[in-house]
Amino acid sequence: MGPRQKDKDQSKCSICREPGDGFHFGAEACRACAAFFRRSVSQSKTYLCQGNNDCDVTVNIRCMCRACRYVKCIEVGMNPVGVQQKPRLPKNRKEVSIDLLSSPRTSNSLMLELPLTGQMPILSKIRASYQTMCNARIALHKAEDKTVFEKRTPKAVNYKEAVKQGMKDVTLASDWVSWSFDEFSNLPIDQKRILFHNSYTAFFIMESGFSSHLNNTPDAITFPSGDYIDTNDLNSFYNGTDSDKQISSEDINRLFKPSYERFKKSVILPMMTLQMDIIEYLALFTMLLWDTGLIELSDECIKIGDKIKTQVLKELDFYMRNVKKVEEPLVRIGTLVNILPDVHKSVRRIQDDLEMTKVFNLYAPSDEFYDLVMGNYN
Amino acid sequence: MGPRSKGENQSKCSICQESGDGFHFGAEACRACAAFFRRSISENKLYTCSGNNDCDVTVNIRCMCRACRLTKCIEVGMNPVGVRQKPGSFRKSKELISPSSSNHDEFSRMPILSKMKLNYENMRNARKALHNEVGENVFEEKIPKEINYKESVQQGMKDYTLMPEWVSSCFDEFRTLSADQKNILFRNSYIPFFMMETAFLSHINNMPDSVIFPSGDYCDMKNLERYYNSTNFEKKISTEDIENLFKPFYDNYKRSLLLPMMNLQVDIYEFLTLFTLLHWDTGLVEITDECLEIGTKVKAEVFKELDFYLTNVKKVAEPSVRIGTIVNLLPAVHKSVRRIQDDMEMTKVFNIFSAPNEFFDLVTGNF
Repeated sequence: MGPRQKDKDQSKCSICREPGDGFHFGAEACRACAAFFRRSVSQSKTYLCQGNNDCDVTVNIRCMCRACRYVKCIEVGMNPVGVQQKPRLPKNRKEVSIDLLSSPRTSNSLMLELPLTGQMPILSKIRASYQTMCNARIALHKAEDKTVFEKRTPKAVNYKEAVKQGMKDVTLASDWVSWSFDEFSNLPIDQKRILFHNSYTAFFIMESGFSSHLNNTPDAITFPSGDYIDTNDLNSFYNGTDSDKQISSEDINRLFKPSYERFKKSVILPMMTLQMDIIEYLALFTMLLWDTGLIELSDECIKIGDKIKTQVLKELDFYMRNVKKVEEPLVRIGTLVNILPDVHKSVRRIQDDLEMTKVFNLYAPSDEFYDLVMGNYN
Repeated sequence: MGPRSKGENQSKCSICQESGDGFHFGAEACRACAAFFRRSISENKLYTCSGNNDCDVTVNIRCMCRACRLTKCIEVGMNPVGVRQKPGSFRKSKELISPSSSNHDEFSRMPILSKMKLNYENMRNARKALHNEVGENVFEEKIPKEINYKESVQQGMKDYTLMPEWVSSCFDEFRTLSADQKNILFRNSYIPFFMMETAFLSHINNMPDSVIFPSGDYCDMKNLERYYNSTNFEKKISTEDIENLFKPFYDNYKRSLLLPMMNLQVDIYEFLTLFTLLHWDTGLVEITDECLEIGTKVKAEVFKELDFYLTNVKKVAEPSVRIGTIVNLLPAVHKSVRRIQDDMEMTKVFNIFSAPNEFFDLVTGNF
């Protein structure tokens, strides 16, 4: 919506209660708070509260606490994905990377910062906006009684919680896609919907595999929140809900366990063996999103998709040769892309499993969730 | 089985009726006929009969007709897939099937892909005999015809018998695997290969509206009613139901697999690379660690060979982009397979066609 014209009725800034200046990044805000939020996100600032993380941030306080002001921005609904990342940070400032995937391995070379953005414009942009999304997820999935600055301890979740988290993450993911590809945001709404709904479950599956690989936990399927399914204890996943209907361990092993075993063997372990990094992962995501074989796509959309995929493969080739310095880039690219059929097979198994939970009347997932997993977009 | 030791009872050569020398290429034969068959296939010989394609080929005729002799070899069950092709004996047919490359380079730098290509050519030759109809001569150019559902099932089951031999002849490593591992890999990859090959055949024949089967016959995607209803089944299916139930598969198949193959102008080496990736599916839960290791190694090796081919033979400007794009056809192959499986279930549910259980298991990948 952007700034409101002066003569219109002004509502108040949701952060500091100063007269508002319209919707900024998803919330009613004044110019000062909008600018503060933009700076904080684009420069990856990290603030520390000197008090108890509950400071007053109304306008009359001269030097209000920046940590609490930022938390308030997130709480009222400002979305970091809407902020364009600055291409370069001031020389005197070291970039602070807040990764969703908070294990010791995540700051290593697999989640590397990107040099040579000029040579890899698309992948650099996706990488930057992915980082922003990871930062936003910290706020999105934070526990009620915690602040965004406290380290979240990942926990094993049950089926119901997993569904809830998945649904929470959808809007963020769709914003991320729009911010990653200018061409996507320019598409007609029906084309966007087709591409996004068709690829979301595949992306979710692939990302959980990638997160498990980064965290070096092949027996856990890691969600965007950092929480996980313990595949060695599927009983807790399927039965640890307040549902009346329980399912026997025997049935769980027979009906659902094969999907997890296949996913581990065909997606997680190959990612670990290959030591797939963030750039490679994002290149695969691009291939998933721009599925130009979909019957409902317009010719224009196909043309755009093919062009983007070709460009990303060129960038990946450049990255392999000049940044990662891989001996046989073609072999590696072929091997990486060959993970995609397994991602699709895993999606299909997830869909079958969802049908099964319906048949067995185990859980009643919302129609919205069902359509999302099934890739329905009508 | 090979040659029989001298002391054993000798049966007759099924071609010329001379004393047999054991099983050769799938039939009882004497050494002379076995050698003749080997030469004919490995050197891609083409013979023409001076008579009416019905000459006597018994041993007492001094210069027996070679065309009729080869036909007899095929008729009694000799299988060309068993014959090793001579390096360099290849006739260049179409650029996509036989891309130009020096044979020396081809064999020394691309051993797996070269071997696969030769064996694929052998299999194509074998198919001519396999799908040869009564009264047809294997040397006459087969005129492809439009077939129906029942005929395509029959052809699929027939063709299936050639495949294990082809796979074994392509990969030495495959032969060393235990029977259960072979079975898992083969059954899991057969239908994806079949789907991919039909698209490849449609592409090289430049027929985007047809599904071309290994026999050369085809299903006309623009007239699915003929495909589904011109059988002797009592149960007919309405045009509307065909449109709703089956047409989406063909539309998807054409859009996501066939047209991209045509746009990319996928050639034989690229196609065979994709087959290698399909066959050695190292993500299968049931395969052993040893099998996984072998498969991973074979795939990496084939990628290296393809890299050499794209860079030095095909001279592609951006080989990495091409390989990424080509490998990204595989999800579409798997989606097509899944839709075929769904359609198969549908024909069962609607009780439209009763495909044999063997065929049903084959399509659904049960092993």
